[in-house]
Amino acid sequence: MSTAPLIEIRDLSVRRGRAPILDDISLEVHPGTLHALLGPNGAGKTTLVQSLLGGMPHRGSIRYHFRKQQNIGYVPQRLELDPTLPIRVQDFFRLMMQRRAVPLGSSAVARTQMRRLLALTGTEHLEGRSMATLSGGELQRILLAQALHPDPEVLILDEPTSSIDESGRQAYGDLLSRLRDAHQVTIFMVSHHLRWVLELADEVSVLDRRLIQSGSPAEIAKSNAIEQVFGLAPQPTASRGGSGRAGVSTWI
Amino acid sequence: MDLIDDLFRHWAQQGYLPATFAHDFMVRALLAGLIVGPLLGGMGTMIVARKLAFFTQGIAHASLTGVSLGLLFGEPLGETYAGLYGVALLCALLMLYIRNRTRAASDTVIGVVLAQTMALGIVMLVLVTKQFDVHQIEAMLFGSLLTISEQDLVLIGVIGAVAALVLIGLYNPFMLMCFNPALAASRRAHPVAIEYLFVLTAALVVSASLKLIGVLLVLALVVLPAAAAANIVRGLSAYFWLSVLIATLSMVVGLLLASYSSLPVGAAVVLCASALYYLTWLFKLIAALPDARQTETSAKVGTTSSHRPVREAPDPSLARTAATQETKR
Repeated sequence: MSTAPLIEIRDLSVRRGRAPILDDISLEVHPGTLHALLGPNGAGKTTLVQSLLGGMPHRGSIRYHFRKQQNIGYVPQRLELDPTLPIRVQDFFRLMMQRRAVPLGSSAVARTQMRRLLALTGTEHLEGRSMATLSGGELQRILLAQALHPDPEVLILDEPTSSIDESGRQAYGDLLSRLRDAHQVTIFMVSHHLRWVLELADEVSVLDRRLIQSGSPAEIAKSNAIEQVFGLAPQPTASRGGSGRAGVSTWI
Repeated sequence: MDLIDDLFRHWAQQGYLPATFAHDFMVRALLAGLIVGPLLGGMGTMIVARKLAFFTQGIAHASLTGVSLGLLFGEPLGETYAGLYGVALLCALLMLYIRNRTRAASDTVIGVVLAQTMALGIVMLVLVTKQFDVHQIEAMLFGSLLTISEQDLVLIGVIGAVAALVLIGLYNPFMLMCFNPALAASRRAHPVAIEYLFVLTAALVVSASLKLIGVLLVLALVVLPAAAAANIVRGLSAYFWLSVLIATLSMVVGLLLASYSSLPVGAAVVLCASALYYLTWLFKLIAALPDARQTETSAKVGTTSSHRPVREAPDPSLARTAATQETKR
């Protein structure tokens, strides 16, 4: 990539006590791309996300070179939802989108914006549903919808598909591709679904406390980075016709 | 204050209010109850959402130690403000600091501090009761109608006004933080600062309520109204206001019950809140009956006709996306 990066991470290190969580990470995320971060459990993926959001003390530098909105949308992996707490999807949006305390009434502007975002992610029908009754896929699309306000230049997603089945994951991937292409949103996504990520992403970084490799999905698939981190070998079968990227092997 | 007392006395003599409001202490207790009741009810929804109920109990126990400490250091009985509020705020900060700085579970940290403050409080009570009548301290444990002075009422009013403003201002980011602190942080909120501010406010409100409700039962008035409201409402706004209403109603009815009997105020108020909790629980059960019958019927139909379990309808938007994918292929 020859364009200037939107996110520039230089020599990032995070320690917990004496134990290194992230060690000397340097990587770039380019504008308008979907950059996926792959890594096994305990690789420091969520720590990197927290550092990007400014919630983790670290050494090294993280720079955002915004060009337009200067907003970052964040999609967490999950919510701590008490099933007895009476909170609906619309309440969740009102908590984020209006200044007025929710018990003091709803703002018409916030309501209009919420409906636009729900329509963008195909979740209009969930507006009145209790948050506790949403399926994993529904919750992830609601979380994606909230991250689209205010209009973000960067979306940071932390394991968005960990509780979604295969078909839901494909649909979610299509939604992300649409956002990237139609709204020119730069997406930085943490995931451990190898095949899905290699088919979907423009750039992939493999992390295991330190950066193992960064490159295009084809480059990552050809390298031994994934085998080194996950202990897996690529299957010499052909890639999925049409939807997959050329040269991307299928991983078990 | 005299004007308000005269007004209540007049209404009580005219029969518009129960005769018990002819007494000044009863008017002060009612006014204090009308300030702390709604506050505890509203704050309770936030405390339950953040799982801080046990924390509230920790603050209440610390306040008892604070009163004893105030007396030991020469504060007059009934006016141990520095001891009461000082120790409550200090313990609130300490519990939160230890919890944030260690990997210990929240319950463990609160349990440790609670046990230590209780032990310290008991030791100091023994020392204090050499100088004072133990029955005067009992009012702190169970609540009393008689102990609210004019000075207390003014202080409760000031704390109430400040706490209401802080809680309303914090509501949205605080509730968001309950679901995911990183999400709140990404919305330009500061989760650590928000939690400290909330906990300090909660400590002030709980301490202000102790003379009326008592150390042992203040937790119930934080948890019960919120739990009762959660039984029958669906949205956050209704949840908050119903909890406020239940706490206020329990407070007023409990005060009246206590004034006509020899019951401690705290116990009377909490019994009222408990009755309302069971009432809402009954409503919930009755409301769930038609759904349960419908599910039972559907399940029977499903079993006899197809011998397959009833499946949830697929999400229409997912189906749309899947159809588009198929077409592309």
